[in-house]
Amino acid sequence: MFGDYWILWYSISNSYSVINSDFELLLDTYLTSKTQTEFSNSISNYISVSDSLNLSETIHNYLKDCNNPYSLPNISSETLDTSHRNISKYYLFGTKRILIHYSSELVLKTVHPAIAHYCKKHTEAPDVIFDIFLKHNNLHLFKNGKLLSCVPKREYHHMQGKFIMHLLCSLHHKTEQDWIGTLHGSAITDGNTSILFVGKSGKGKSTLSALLATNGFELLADDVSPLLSENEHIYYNPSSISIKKGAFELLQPLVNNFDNLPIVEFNATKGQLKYMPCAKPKYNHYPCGAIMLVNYQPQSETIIEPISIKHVLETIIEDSWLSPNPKHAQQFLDWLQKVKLYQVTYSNTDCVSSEISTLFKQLNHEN
Amino acid sequence: MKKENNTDKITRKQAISKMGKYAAITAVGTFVILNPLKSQAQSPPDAGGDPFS
Repeated sequence: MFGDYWILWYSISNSYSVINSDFELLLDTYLTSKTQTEFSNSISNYISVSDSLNLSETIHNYLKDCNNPYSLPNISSETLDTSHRNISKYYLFGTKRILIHYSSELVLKTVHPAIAHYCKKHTEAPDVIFDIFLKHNNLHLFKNGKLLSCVPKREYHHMQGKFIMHLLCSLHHKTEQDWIGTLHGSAITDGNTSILFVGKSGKGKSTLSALLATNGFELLADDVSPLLSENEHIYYNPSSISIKKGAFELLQPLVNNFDNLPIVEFNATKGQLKYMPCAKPKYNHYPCGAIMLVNYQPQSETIIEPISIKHVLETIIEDSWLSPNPKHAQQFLDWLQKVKLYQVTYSNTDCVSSEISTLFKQLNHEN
Repeated sequence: MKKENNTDKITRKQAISKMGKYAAITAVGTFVILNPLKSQAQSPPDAGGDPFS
């Protein structure tokens, strides 16, 4: 229970439901009633039999929707075709050597720009080899010769997500089953704890992360923030901050060498992006003290205020991958109970940095 | 989470028996069901965009 809300997790569908206390009471009564008559008798005398029937039907339909079986996407059994290895890039992440073969410049643009700052001249034998290629309009991702993902080209962001997941597994010596999830948001650390900035697309979470990364804080993860089961910490994601064209003007005077960052565009009609590399934090992982919903509003004052769990979950769940493992679902809910939930509305960049700095101090003081 | 003592059961029973028609109908209309992604994903640069077209 979170304040006025109950969060229910349905194992069959791996779905999360937010309900209020009255609904929880009705649901509990419905589930413990053996018959419709018993349910009608248990609820208020002020509710007519026909209204009671309608309530039962609504609850029944709700439960049906919550129990749609969870099915994983099919992975085909294709074998690696090395004839697509047209461009090869070698990356060094600390001591981990990664080699990625791409089939074309366009395919390269889906992954390389975000990790280009780790690209090095090929020297020693790689620890891990990825192959990414387009074949029959499907994007294929292989790791050490094993197919990880095959998606229609329009769903390239799923291939990117799977690639990042497996890059993180390689860098942090984990398997996919070790993670509670990859949360859609950007994590910033002050060296002690971290804050996860979340928000729907275009609300300025990456822009705020870029601002904070130039104001004394460090980027832990942009866009995909991985949460590990073992310690419930957010782990370092080496991807650069992806900045959309709309934020170029705001960041240009604030970020060193911003003009020198190359503009990446898939083609002339799609959005332009810049990838801003950031220094790696001292440690690979940090606890998360707060989740902050980002709300950029031109001309607004900086306001940090508490928000409901409903608001947070509505923002992050459908854009995050969360493990269907019951242990991980329980951990996710327990973790949510521990973190503070806020919304930041801002327009002034100096002011928002100062307020977030104060919040970090508070979080550290409380721990 | 949910308490199991008798006092609580009585309170909950009383609460459900006193819940008004409109409170009940409103309550069952306010639920939210949220489904996480089935596989990891990054944000697309522009929703629905096709960089290969």
